[in-house]
Amino acid sequence: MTQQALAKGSVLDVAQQQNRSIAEVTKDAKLIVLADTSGSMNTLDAQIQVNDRPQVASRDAAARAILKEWQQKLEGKILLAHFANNAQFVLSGILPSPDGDTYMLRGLNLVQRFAKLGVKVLLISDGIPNEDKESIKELVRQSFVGRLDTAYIGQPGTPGSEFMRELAEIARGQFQPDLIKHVQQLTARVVELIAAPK
Amino acid sequence: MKRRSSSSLPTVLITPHCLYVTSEYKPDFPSKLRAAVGEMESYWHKDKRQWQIAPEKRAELLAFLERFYKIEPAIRYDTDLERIKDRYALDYIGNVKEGRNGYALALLASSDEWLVLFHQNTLKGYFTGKAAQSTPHTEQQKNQAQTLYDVLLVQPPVTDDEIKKAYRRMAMQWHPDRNKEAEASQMFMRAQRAYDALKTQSQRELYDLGLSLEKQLAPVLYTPQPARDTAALTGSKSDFSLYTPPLRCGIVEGKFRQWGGRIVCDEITKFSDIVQNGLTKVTYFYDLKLQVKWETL
Repeated sequence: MTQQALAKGSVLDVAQQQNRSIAEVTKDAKLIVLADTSGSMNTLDAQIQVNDRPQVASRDAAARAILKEWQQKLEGKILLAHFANNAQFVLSGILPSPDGDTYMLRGLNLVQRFAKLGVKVLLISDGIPNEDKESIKELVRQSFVGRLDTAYIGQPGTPGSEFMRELAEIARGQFQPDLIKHVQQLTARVVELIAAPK
Repeated sequence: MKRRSSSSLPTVLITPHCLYVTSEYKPDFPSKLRAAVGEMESYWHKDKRQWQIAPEKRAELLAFLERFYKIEPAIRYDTDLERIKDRYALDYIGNVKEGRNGYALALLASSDEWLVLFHQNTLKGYFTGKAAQSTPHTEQQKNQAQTLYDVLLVQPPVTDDEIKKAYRRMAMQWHPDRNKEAEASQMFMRAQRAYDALKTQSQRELYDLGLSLEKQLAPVLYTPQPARDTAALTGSKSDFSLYTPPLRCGIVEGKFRQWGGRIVCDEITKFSDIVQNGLTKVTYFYDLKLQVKWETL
């Protein structure tokens, strides 16, 4: 196997540690985190804890720190995917560097087969897709009702935040208006989603 | 070179796929013959009272016979004498072992003849649907040569009932309460794990999604090892992973050929249980003896 960095608790890490195939570990995943990795995620308006002190960081750095914690805590239960110009699963658990546009519809299309089989999805984004918003809403209506929560990352009160709220409403899921500020709340929600039956 | 009377002359009948040797008995002959031509390449047919040798060992055989008996053997030629079938009932297919260059020996049903040879790729090619193209180097790569469907010997799409029946078949063969072979626990647990993961439709659908993900991302995930030459029967020792066939006995249909005194299976096209009066034959070795059970599937 090629040597690559792996997040502890990621699907690939668990597969290696437990000597199981990726397909087996994936089957047991309870939550897909679909993360925006577009260029806007480089914006320096978030923060992370460094030696227990808050420090200004990019949205991407903040999301990575949170995802690292979740995967460590909930080994093998989170399947990570990302979207920018394209959408892809990230079995290593480490998001690629932010770059490109925000093709959210591609991301949702990527994960909808899992959602239809009962896997929950948490969408993390600053909510400004390059695609037609109505198409995204329609896809959520068709395939994600009961299966989608959204978490907004960025400046509060923006159209992006409002769009993310609308998506959660359509899906009858929960909307978290500030990923960074309410990370503990969101973490509790993630644990709840994972514990719930499919 | 001195000529003796024809009755004591070693004789070799040469056919395209076998060399038949008849010679005067001497106690050290078997061990020296095997040393000269090879263990796997030589077979003593006790009913016919003759040695049957792999055809590619002709030069070594003739040289050996001349050295041993101090006389040139008599040589005759003929076409193949044995009729090779396309179907054999086997009581026990052994493990692929290091000393056999990647081959497993199998016992013909209701006999004590270990006659049939399967290369591990032939076995894997049927039981997993994927012949090993390269030698896996990690436990994870070995595991990933098989899907959970392969472990239960089923091809998707399958129903819940088919999965259950397939699991019971494997459990019948490998349950460690009955089967005391070294691999039994491991084989049973693999079957159990596969069954637990595949027993419902929704579980299978999720697993199938995982398989397609694995397939899509395989070029990124894995650096393929360079393909190794698969072991020739008489080739030099090469690398292979030891393999336990998932079922020990059954009726094997496929392509067979004669190789000296043995029968090599080059391809399995069908593997069926041996069933009598509604009971399925299950075999395993215990205390160096072949145990035979007839079980209800």
